[in-house]
Amino acid sequence: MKVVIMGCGRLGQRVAKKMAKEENCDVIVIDKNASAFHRLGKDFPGKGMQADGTDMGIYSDIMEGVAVDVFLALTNSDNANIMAAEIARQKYKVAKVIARVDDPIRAKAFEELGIETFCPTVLSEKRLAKMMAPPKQEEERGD
Amino acid sequence: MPTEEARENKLFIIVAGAGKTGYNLTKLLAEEGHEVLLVEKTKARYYELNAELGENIFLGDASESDVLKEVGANRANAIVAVTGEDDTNLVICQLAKIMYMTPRTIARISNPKNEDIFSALGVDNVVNTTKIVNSLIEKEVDAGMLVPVLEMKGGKVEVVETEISSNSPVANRAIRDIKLPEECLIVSVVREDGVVFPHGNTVLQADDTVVVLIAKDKKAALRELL
Repeated sequence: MKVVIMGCGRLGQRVAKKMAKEENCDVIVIDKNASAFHRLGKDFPGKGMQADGTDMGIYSDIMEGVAVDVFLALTNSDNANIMAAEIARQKYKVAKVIARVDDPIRAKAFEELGIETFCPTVLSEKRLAKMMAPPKQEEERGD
Repeated sequence: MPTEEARENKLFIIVAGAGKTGYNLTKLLAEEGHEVLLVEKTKARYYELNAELGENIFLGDASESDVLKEVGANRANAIVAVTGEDDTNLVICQLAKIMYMTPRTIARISNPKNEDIFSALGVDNVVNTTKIVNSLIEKEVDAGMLVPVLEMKGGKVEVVETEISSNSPVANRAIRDIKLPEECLIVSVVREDGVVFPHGNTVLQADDTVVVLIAKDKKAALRELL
């Protein structure tokens, strides 16, 4: 399986490391900031590539001629994630494209446009609501 | 003052991004009598322009759906996204188009490679700043001084202007004796005493300005000739 992850921040690096450990999983991480790759550690089996994910030109190297199975846009910029996801989906026909969108309204809007999105804000909000709910029994605890 | 005609054709246009382009575009559109609203997300720039633009400027991030709603994207005739970021401009246009049915979306892009994807994603007009500037520079250094006046057929055919120097081989010769390249037509000759509608007998003189309709790929041949 070939996976491309845009954004090597806290979230991106965790997902990258986890997926790279799986068998037959070829991971490329893109970040515009070269210093972000130290987060991956020395033993990261995948590839880090310094590039701006909102520059369409960079994708010809990564995506052309190879079937990318998963594209994850995980930077902290909603608009960059959306644009990169659109490129992956429309131009390179990647089967699974997921974008992180922090603004709940924007996340919903682009979900309607056909981009699979997840919204950390909404997820946190739900989690918080759960944590603050009166304790019924020992359910899940925060990690 | 807007003329009666302008008022009849009055449009409502939203401009996103109050950089130099957005600011000047807003002023221009307002002068032409259109209703225009400039949307700027940074407070500092907003307050800087607020005194001058008053109700024509709005503080907010146009790539947020509720801001677009508030500024009236649903009744806008067009939205022009000219922030400095390509991705933001794309999101603004897409949201306006899909959520608020804005009939016309125009985006500026800085990275020329992004032009295709913008068009594919439903942005009606893409203004490729880098490419335009680049072509202007190329025009600037156009040797043989063929000054572009107008481009037609997407740049395949051009109207160019050039001055005839006294040592040019075509000076003091009748047009019928000049072997012009194919797809090249002298449409007028401008000289001190007026504009000449040229025919075969017209003799080109030094310091004439010649206006030529020409296919782009024939420009080199024309340059050689002059």
